[in-house]
Order: sequence, then structure tokens, then C-alpha cells
Amino acid sequence: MTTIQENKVAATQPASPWREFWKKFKRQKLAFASAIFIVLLFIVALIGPWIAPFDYTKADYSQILQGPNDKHWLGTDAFGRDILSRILVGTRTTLLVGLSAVLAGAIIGTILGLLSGYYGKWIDSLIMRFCDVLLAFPGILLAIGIIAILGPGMINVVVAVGIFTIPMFARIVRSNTLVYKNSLYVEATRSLGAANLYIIFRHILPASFSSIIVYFTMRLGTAILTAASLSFLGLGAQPPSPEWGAMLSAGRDYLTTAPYITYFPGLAIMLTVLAFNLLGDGLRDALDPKVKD
Amino acid sequence: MLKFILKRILQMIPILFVVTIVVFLFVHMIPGNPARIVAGADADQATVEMIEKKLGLDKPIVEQYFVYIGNLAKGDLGTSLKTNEPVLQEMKSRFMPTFWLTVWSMLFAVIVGVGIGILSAMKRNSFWDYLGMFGAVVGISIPSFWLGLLLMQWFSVKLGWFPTTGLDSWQGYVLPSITLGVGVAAIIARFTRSALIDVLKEDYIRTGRAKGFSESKIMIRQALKNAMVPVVTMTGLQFGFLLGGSVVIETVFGFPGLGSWLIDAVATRDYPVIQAEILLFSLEFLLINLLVDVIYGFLNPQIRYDD
Amino acid sequence: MAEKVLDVVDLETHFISDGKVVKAVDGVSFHLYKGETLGIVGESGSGKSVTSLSVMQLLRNTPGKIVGGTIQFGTLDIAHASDKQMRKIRGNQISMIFQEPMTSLNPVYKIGRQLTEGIILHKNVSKKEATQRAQQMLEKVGIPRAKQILNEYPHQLSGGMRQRVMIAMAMACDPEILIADEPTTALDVTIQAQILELMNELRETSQTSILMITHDLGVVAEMCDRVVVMYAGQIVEEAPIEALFAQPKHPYTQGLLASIPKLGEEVEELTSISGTVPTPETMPSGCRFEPRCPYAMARCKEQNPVLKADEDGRVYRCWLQEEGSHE
Repeated sequence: MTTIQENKVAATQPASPWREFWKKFKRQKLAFASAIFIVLLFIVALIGPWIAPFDYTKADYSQILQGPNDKHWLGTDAFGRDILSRILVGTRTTLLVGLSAVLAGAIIGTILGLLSGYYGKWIDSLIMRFCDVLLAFPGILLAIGIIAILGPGMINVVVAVGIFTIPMFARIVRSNTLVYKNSLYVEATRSLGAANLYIIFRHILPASFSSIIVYFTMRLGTAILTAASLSFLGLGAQPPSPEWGAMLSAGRDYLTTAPYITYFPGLAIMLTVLAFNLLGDGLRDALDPKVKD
Repeated sequence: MLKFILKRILQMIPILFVVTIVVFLFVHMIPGNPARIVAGADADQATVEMIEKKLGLDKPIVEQYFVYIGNLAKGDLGTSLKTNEPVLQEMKSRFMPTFWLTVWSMLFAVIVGVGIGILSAMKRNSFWDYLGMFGAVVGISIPSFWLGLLLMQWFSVKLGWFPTTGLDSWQGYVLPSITLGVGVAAIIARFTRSALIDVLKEDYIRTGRAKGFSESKIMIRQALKNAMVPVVTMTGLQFGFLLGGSVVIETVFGFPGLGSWLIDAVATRDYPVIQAEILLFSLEFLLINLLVDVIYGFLNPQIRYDD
Repeated sequence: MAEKVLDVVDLETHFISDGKVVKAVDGVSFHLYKGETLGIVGESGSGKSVTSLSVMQLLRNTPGKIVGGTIQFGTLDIAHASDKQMRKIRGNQISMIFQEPMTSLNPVYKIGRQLTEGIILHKNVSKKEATQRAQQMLEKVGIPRAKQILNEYPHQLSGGMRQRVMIAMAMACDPEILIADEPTTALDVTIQAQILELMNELRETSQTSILMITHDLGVVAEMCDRVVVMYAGQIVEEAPIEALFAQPKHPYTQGLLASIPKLGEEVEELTSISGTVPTPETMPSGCRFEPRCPYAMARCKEQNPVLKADEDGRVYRCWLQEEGSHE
């Protein structure tokens, strides 16, 4: 992916595009900090189980509902499990669900958008009507509807969140495609006898990359938030799982006696979503001022 | 104007038709036999057949659809599999709480959101602008169920100002409305700011300055109404977000509305209830869109005369 | 002539963006007499619009800033006036009309409100009196059905009508100075003539001084008593209207005049000035017009001439003045 993007940037902005981007991006201090935080999150997602101070599944009935202390920095839950360890391990689930849902939605949406914009006519109307219908519903209701059909579970959450990500990408890529389709550059390539698919993937798609990346980042935050909400509602990850939304849901019953059980998983969700949103804003300002929220 | 509204209502009819088909097909999209899923794996054939009959699955599909439409026309939304009560009856009792919840939270969101948006646009690039906009990103990023629990923990459990759950008095609305409104307030704040900043670049604002108006008067007398045109449209669309959010918030606060009912229905696979709710939510969306168009017409004189 | 209503001395307005300074107005001096129309002529980028915005102190919210000079209006120096002082002057004693009549009126308010709000702001009158005044003004600028128009929205009017409304709005408080920034550029030719005629009439009846900012020498010929020609942020020539058209002194003015077709004259070739206005990066160190000047000499490359009067009393900025031998 990086190589394709480098090609694209080199094609449209000859004057050292990376340095230009870097110069603009560095100025966005919040976005920069968010990027560092996100890198740390991914590291934790990879090595979480090994850096967790305790076994995240192991119940310890001598240690139930302990507040934050020297041994358990973030306290323990109703089964005496270490909350810090569960949050660290749960990072992987959170990022995996968000990434796979948005990635699936982005790929399908991008393909639909390319087809729609490049071929136009009835393909375009069909795809765009389909997107209108999907967009007419708020994401979480659509996701709940899909889960009502498929049944609860993490995989189905990914499917549900992925589906409502499709129309957004389809629209953005379509409008970019419409612009680039008629550019002289593409006209010239076409006149040289290039095949449609070659033009789409070699020229039009790379030209949309900056929009896609900006939007991808922003959607990740939304996707993580929606997935956590679904788990909280009992429609996603089920209780023993250290998914953050599910942990919060389990902590609800101890709101009066042990509120910290809900503090930290919620904080983890918020910081993660916040980081993706801030990074998205920063990338937008540095890469693609056209995309509005 | 009346003609315009009428035209929009007529345009809704085919959409409604599509909605009924989608809602009707809902049960048919469930993989496997829905009756078997409802009855459970151990249920005998007789129970499954009884549920099939209840769901109307025992007839040919086209006939099923016409029966469904016929029942809808009579105001029959089916019978809950869980309680054996007519769905409509329960829906009636749960409609108003959710209605008021969305209205109050929208009110909260508009006041807070537009207020922060105006302040940020006026004090552009100042500390207050940065604070307001950072607050807005936090508002968008904060999980509503977590915020709900925090507010509940603080104001209900610790301070005892509001009930933790349920809806016995007006106090029951306060925390859920605020929780639900925060995300929308954040979106409105960001949008209001950027809409105002766009408007402030317009030539007629320069005219206003040339007339000798102060910046705050420019903002309120010249720019705000223009900026409100896109803000109203966007705010109307956020009603959808509120309906979606109400599902989560009602569950957090044990609020007896449509949202918590939907989650219960999904959990217990009470398909007639789910179908009825999808239908109702779709209707609400169409209505909201219509309302947004009408208000838009009032705010923007150019639109009114085009039709 | 009588009293000076406006006296601009050594005005310098700079734009600062990305740490770079653009001297949009670089030491401009001129004055405006009571009841006079002064034209400021130049291509886009010459600094003429920035000059007018400086006089109105409308550079707020832009990267532009007055960094030097004075703008004397009565007893007040506008260049150093406070916001509050300026608000009392803007729209009241000095008002302005703009190039874009289509977008200069607020689309969501009725004409009546847009006219009366300025009157109510500056003149201590009731809403009813303001409405009467507004209707009067509309009639004065030749708008038929003035009473109905008060209740209509801008998009219901044509461009020419909107510019009339803008003029009515600008004249509503009997200003001493009206600044017109390309008031007819966006209009059809026939409408242009009507609007210019209207402005001439209003000037005669109200004794308002007009500062006419334009690139169109036809407009200048129609309207102005005196002309200031600007090039690259500086004044290159200043002359009474007849003298300027009869005998332009600065090579740039000559170029401008040569580039307009004259009626009743057989023109074999319309000349246009070759090259473009210099950007801050290409600003010559000597005379700013030197790269485009047909008479450029070695000295022009090195030193920028000063604006001064020659022995005939003609004021222009050119080294040829000292040679005294070009025609």
C-alpha cells in the first residue's frame, strides 16, 4: 500500500510530497500525539498478553472488587480479575474488530464507488440508491437490525459495522472518480488504448488514496465506538471476553460499590476513539482539505 | 409552500411501500427457520409449527405480504411472541417517553452546540476556540453508555439528585437527555463553527461591516441566520443519530422507551416487535426529513420560490 | 477647489502570510476634495482595492494591516482610529459599494431590513422613520415600486437593481465620502451607463465626494474630475481628467490609454502592454514598471524614480521627466 501511495503522490505533487505532508502534519500537535498513542495501542494489541501483569482470565476470589492499589493498579472486578490486564489484552479485540470492519467496508465501498463513478448509467443509479437506503438509517440501528437477523456475536458485529461503512466510502470514491475520470491525464491514457481496469486501478484509485486514508482513520473511531456499544448492549462480545464494552456492561451492576470497574474500560474506549478522531482531523488538514466531517 | 409540502408527502408514498417490503422480508432474511430459532433447539415440531403460524410463515410468501399489509392498514402490528400482547398496545405506552427523550436531548444539543459553535467562530483561533473544539472532539469520542454511567454514578448515586433508573417523574429525563445530547451537541458545535466561518467570508458580511456594525452584531444580525440554513439541515439529520443513541441510553438508564424495548426484543428474538420498531423508526425518519425540508424552506427564501 | 475631505499621506498596507510580507500599498498619498470624484485606476494587483479597504479600515479578518502613514478624515486619523470610532464613520460618513451586487446583499433578509438597519444604527430614528427614509432612497436611485421592493428578497432583483439598492444603502445616511470599488464591472454595458449616471446625479444633489476605484478608463472618463494611476502598490501618475486623456505622461498610463479603442478613430492595431504586473517575488529593485516599459533605460533598473511634478506641473513617477524628451 505504501508503494502505491508514494507513486500517487509523486505523480500529482512533484515537489517532495512526503516532506510537504510531514511539514503540515507536524504542525498538528494533537494529531501527532494521537499518532504516537495509536502506535502504542497497536504494540499493546500485539504483545498485550505478555505484558499483562496477571492472567486476564484467572479468577481470584480473595481479591474481588478491589479498588486501585499497588498490586492491581486499576483494581479488580467481581471475579477478582485484574482490570489492567484485561484492558491490555482487550486492546487486541477492540482494534481487530474496528480494523476488520472498516477494512471490509472500505474495500467493498471503494470498489462500488469506482464502478459507480467510472461506468455511470444504471450501475451508478443502482449503487447510489443502495447507498442512500443504507445511509438513511443511523449506523447503530442498522447494525442492531443486522444482528437481529444474524444473531449476536463478534463476527456479526464486524459484519454489521462493515456494512454501514460501505456507503460512505462508495460516495467519496465515486465523487473522486468522477473528477479524475475526465482529467486530461486519464483521457490521454485511454487514448493510448489502456484497458478500463488498468485505468481504474493504476490511475483513478491511487488519486483517491488520500481521501480514503483520511476517511478510513475517522471511521475507525466510529467503528470502535459502535462495536463497543453493541458489546455493551450484549449483542457483541459476550461476558468472559475482555472486550472493553463488555467489561463496562459487566461493571454496571457494581456502580454503587465499585464504580472504578466502569471507569477504566470506558476511559480506554474514549482515548482510543479520541486518538483516531484527532488523527483523522489532522490527516485531513494535512492531506485533503476537501473531505469535511 | 403548501404545494411543496404536499409534493413531498406524495413523494414519500413509494418509499413507504419499499419500507414495508423490507420490514416484511426481515423475518425471511434470517438464516434457517425463524420459528425454530425462536422455539429453541429442543422444542418439538408442534411448538415450531404454532410459532410459524403466529409469524404467518405458513402461507405462500406473496399472500403473507398482503396479509401483512392488510393488518397494517387495520392498525394490527402483530402479537409479541414474548407477552402475547398486541405490539401496538405496548408501542403506544413506550412511544411518548422516547419522543420526549429525543426532544429534550435535541434541545440540549442545539443550545449547547450552537452556543459553543458561535463562541468558537467569534473567538476564532483563541484559547476558547481551541477549548470548545477540543471539547467537541471529546464529545464525539466519548462512549455514551460510559458517560451515562459516570453521570449516574455522580448525580444519582453520590448526590442523589436524580433517580438512577426508571421514569417516575420529570427528573428521570434529565440525565438520559444530557447523555444522549452530548454527541449531537458536539457535532452541531463543529458544524456551526465551520458554517459561520464560511458565511463570514461572504461579500454581504463585508457589506455589513461597511455599514458600521460591530463584529458581534455582524455575527448575530448578519451571519447567524445564513449559517443556520445548513445547521438546521444537519441538525435534522442528527435526529436519526438520537434515535440510534436512544437505544443505548435507554438500556443504560433502564428507561421504558422504544429503544430498550428493541434491545429486549432482539435479545429474546421477539420478531414481531423488531419488525414493528423498524417500521416505526423508518416512518419517523421520513417525517423528520420532511420537517427538515419545510424548515429549510422557511429559512432560505430562495428555495421557497423555486417550487 | 475647496476643502479636503480626505487626505491620505504615505499610506503603507502590508499583507503578511506564512512569514512573507507583501507590500500591497507602498507609500500612497492622495487627497479628495469636497464634491469631487477622484478615480483610482490600475490593473488587478495594483493595490487600488486595498487602498480603498484601508480607508474604510475593512482589513480586519484579512492578513492585511496598515503599517504606516495617515488617513486624515476631518479631525480623525483613520489609520490610527479605534474600532469604535470607525464603526461610527463606516456606513455613516464614509460608505462603500462593491463590485459584486449579486453577492453583496444578504440573501436571507428582505431589502427593507437591509436598508433600514444602517439608518437605525447611525441616525437616531424610529423604525417607521427609517422605513420611510429607505423608501425615499429607493425612489431616489430610480427603483420602481419602491414600497413593494422593501418587502422583497435580493434574489428577486436583477443585478442592476441590486446595485441600485446598494447605492441607496450607501447613500442613506448622507455620507461625506462614497467609495465605489468597481461598481459597474459586473453589470451589462447599458446598465453600467445608467448606474454611472445615477452616481453623477447623486453627487451633484448631495455634494458627496466619490472615490472611484476602477480598471476601466471609460468609467473614469465618464465620472472623474481627477485621476490617480496606481501600479504595483504605488502611484505612478496623478492628473486632472482632461490632461490625463489628452497627454498621458507616464509610460504605463500611455499604455493603458493605447489599449482602449477610441470611437470614430481608425485603429489598425490595439496595443496592449506586454508582460504582467510584478509579483512580490519578481518585484524589480528599480522602477517597478521597467520590465514592461518601452522606454526603459539603464537607470530605471537601478533606482525607482520618485513621484514629483515636472515644469508643466504634471505629476508622475518616471526618469524620463528629467530627460524631458519623450513623446
